[in-house]
Amino acid sequence: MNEVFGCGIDLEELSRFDRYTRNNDYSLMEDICTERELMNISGDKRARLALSFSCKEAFLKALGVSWTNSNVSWKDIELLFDGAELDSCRVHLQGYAKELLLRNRADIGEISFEFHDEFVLFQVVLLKEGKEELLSNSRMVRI
Amino acid sequence: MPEITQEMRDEVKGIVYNFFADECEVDKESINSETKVIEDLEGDSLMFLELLEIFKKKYNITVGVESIGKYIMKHPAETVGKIVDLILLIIEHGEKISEIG
Repeated sequence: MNEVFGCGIDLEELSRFDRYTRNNDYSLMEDICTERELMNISGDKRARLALSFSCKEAFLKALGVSWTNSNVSWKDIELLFDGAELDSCRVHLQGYAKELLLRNRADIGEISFEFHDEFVLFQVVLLKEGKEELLSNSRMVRI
Repeated sequence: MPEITQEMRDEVKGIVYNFFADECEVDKESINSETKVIEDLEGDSLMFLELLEIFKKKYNITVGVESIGKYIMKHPAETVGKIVDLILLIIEHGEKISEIG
């Protein structure tokens, strides 16, 4: 059984993202989402934005860093949806987030999310001693 | 590089205090320059980004969060007072804030 490198949990209130979808103003999200993510946001945009941010925050916590004490940025963690529904999406790590995992020979272990009432919860477990060929910068998430 | 006037300082301070009072649902009078954003107000990253967005639009500033992050790494902004100072530096220096020692 692999040793845990880090774990992160983030809880976000969906209503905090209303202001972006209501006004179609994604300028703030441009600071934290990649172009691919912004193009990928459709359908229930509020839920997707909240989930995206929650995913990024959970990964930062699992990596033990923040945007103010490391070179890891929110854009290093991408959450892309496979279809119109929320039940299937893929996490893609790049940049300093990926470098941090590689340097520590860690890998994405378990990731999951769930919606409950007006909140979204995202959980990440990173494992040590991942095999290099599995050092995935991409992992499917299903609820 | 815009000149930072006392009027601007007062305006920025007012906006920052009002923002935290609204978002954190506290009395504005209970906020001072030493109030800790996370410990006292339960502030978070998203709140800071929203505050930053207000000023980016108001003063037409172009600055990436990465540049701000690099500055904060050297100069932590844990209190409301430091946030006000940070916003003023962002207004003054924009993207070049990361170059400040």
